[in-house]
Amino acid sequence: MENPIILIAFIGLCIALICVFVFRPGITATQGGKAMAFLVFFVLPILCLGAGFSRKMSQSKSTKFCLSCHIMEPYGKSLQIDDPMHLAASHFQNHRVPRDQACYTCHTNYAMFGGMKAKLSGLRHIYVYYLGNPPRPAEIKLYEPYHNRECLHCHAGARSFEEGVVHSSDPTLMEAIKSNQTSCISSGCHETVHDVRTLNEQKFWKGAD
Amino acid sequence: MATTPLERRVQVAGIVLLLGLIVEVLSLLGRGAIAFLVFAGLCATLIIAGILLYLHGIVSSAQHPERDADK
Repeated sequence: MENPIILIAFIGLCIALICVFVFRPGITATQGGKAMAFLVFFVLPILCLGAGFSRKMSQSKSTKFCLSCHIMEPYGKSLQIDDPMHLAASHFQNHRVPRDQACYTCHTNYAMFGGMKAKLSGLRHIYVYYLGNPPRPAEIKLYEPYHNRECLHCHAGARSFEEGVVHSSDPTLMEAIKSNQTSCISSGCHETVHDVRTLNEQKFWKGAD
Repeated sequence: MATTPLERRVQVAGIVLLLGLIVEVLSLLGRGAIAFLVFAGLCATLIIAGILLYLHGIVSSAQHPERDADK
């Protein structure tokens, strides 16, 4: 739900009903008033909180959300680099990932409870950014080495991947990729992901919004 | 306005809930990490506190009905 107007209207209704009880608490003296108070003070606030939580969780997957921290700006800019050898840029520009959820799509964890782990990592980012000692953009590192599982979530089974010349030339390579023994982003393969150190030397694609 | 302890507790819970819901509306208007933090940290805390205050109010009122009846 992109537009929060319905949720805000619902919260407004809840606020109005609570105001009735705050200014006229005597309503709770009757049985009907007690039942109404339970609805207004327990059921509706839980619904408001749940709907807000769902919206915020959905919003936190957006590319805009990730790039709202200044430290991430160079990473956002790296998505516009006009060079197909730049992995993140080529995925972003060619719609291999949804543009509005570009960061989340590659940086979530596609294992069990992966979405939850990704959210906890996001909270860690926020903690480091506001309360810790954030590194400079070029010095940011992943908490754990990038797992091939995240690439294979989309690419496994795809003809271009399974029958690609480099991938299939050595029979042991495919096995090593699928078992995460050889990283997709290892040297000599797709090693240039977000090259934020050389942004000043890059040409940028103007096509995206 | 409030004449019984239950009514007083309902008012206090209502004020806390109102604050939480107002903060929720403000945080929903924002899109960045600060809005998320305000929602998760302040709004959720206030709303949960308001609900707990209300539940505490009705439970303690049920345990001591004479206090509410006397007033």
